[in-house]
Amino acid sequence: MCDCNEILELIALGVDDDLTAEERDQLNEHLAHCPNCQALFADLCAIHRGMATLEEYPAPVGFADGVLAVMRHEEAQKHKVVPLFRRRYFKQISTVAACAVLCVGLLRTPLTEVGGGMRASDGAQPEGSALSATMSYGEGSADVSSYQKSIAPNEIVTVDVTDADAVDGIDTGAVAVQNFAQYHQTLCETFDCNDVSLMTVTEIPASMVEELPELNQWMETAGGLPYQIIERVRMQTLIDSGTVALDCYLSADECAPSVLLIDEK
Amino acid sequence: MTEAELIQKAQQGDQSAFGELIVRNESKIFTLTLRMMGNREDAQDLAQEAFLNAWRGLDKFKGDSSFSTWIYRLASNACIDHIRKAKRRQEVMDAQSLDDEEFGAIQLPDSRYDPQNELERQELREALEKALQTLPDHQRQVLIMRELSGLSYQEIGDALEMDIGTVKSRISRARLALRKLLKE
Repeated sequence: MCDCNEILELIALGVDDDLTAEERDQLNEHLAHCPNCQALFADLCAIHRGMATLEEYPAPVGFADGVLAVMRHEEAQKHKVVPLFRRRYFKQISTVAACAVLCVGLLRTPLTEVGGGMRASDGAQPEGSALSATMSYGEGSADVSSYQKSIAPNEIVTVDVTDADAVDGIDTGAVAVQNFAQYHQTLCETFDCNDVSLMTVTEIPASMVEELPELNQWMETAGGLPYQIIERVRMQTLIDSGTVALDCYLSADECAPSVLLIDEK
Repeated sequence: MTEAELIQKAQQGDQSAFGELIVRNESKIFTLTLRMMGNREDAQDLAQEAFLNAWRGLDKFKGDSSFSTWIYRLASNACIDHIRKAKRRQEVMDAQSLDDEEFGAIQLPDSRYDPQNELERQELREALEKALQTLPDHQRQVLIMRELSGLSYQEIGDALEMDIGTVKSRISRARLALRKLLKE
């Protein structure tokens, strides 16, 4: 004969109908002469059955609509927000937009004539595109002729890619890609070339540098244009080596796209 | 429209079809999360999380089980994840002391009360519901996982990172506590 406390485990297994034949015999033998355990077993079985009869709670009013609203929001974000910028570390880079710079290298089709051969060489800003309307030097008082005559085949200029939709300095990404596409097209037209290479320069912390291949792979996939993200350190190396020189970076509160001139050292 | 048709449409991106699936299952899922969590706020958040996870992973749903079963498991998992995270935030010593307490000797209650027949009645069902919510979280959660989600002791142990003995002990304790509460 078993002690009541010893039989408790068998009672629990019995409630769950998880006894071996031997255990069931042992339990039945104990219950046959122990009214307390018999009652306990009956009660626990009743509770077990009662649990299955519990009624459902109605979901809160508007629950389904709430879920659908989140789904729609996520779907909208999927189309608008570039995954790159949803990465947690990119959200940490509050100055991405402010400091991003596109380096534009004219490739493949060198300008037929330096300076005067460019479309924009008549002294007027190119028309008919979003970029041309906002192209400026510095803060809008650009000396376009200076900009023009400094451009040469395979020369590199920088284009600020700060977007109007940047919130608190964080670029939401979607407009960036749209703008990149516009930049690409307009720059090709402006400089009468078939292609340009674009690089964004961001203040990526050293700890994130190893992510760059992945980020660039994403840029290639998502943008379909030859964007390349490099870290500022590398950009500085390019500057130091004389490959490029930056006139300036825009401050965080300057959001108008600008074309900045890079003169070779 | 049948569940299969709704799922097919939803898998093609039809949000309104998925909305109908939500409506058909929301009470069951909300009931599970509410019983697991014991408060409406967490319950609503986790039920929503379960449906959102279902929407995001709908292409993975192959129809091996019913949608209802699948979303139920997703909701269980959402609750388990939530509980596990909460557990990790707790002091290890607190959790240990609870477990130690469970292994103590159990005083068998007397048999004057017979819920076997009483449970047939609505008021007693309500009493059981009330008693369930009175249980400590750690007891109610394992009991719900066992009784309502149908998880085995081993599955519960794996989910909550507890050894199977603790799971058994906790469920047994929970049932005894329920019995005691029903007698009060």
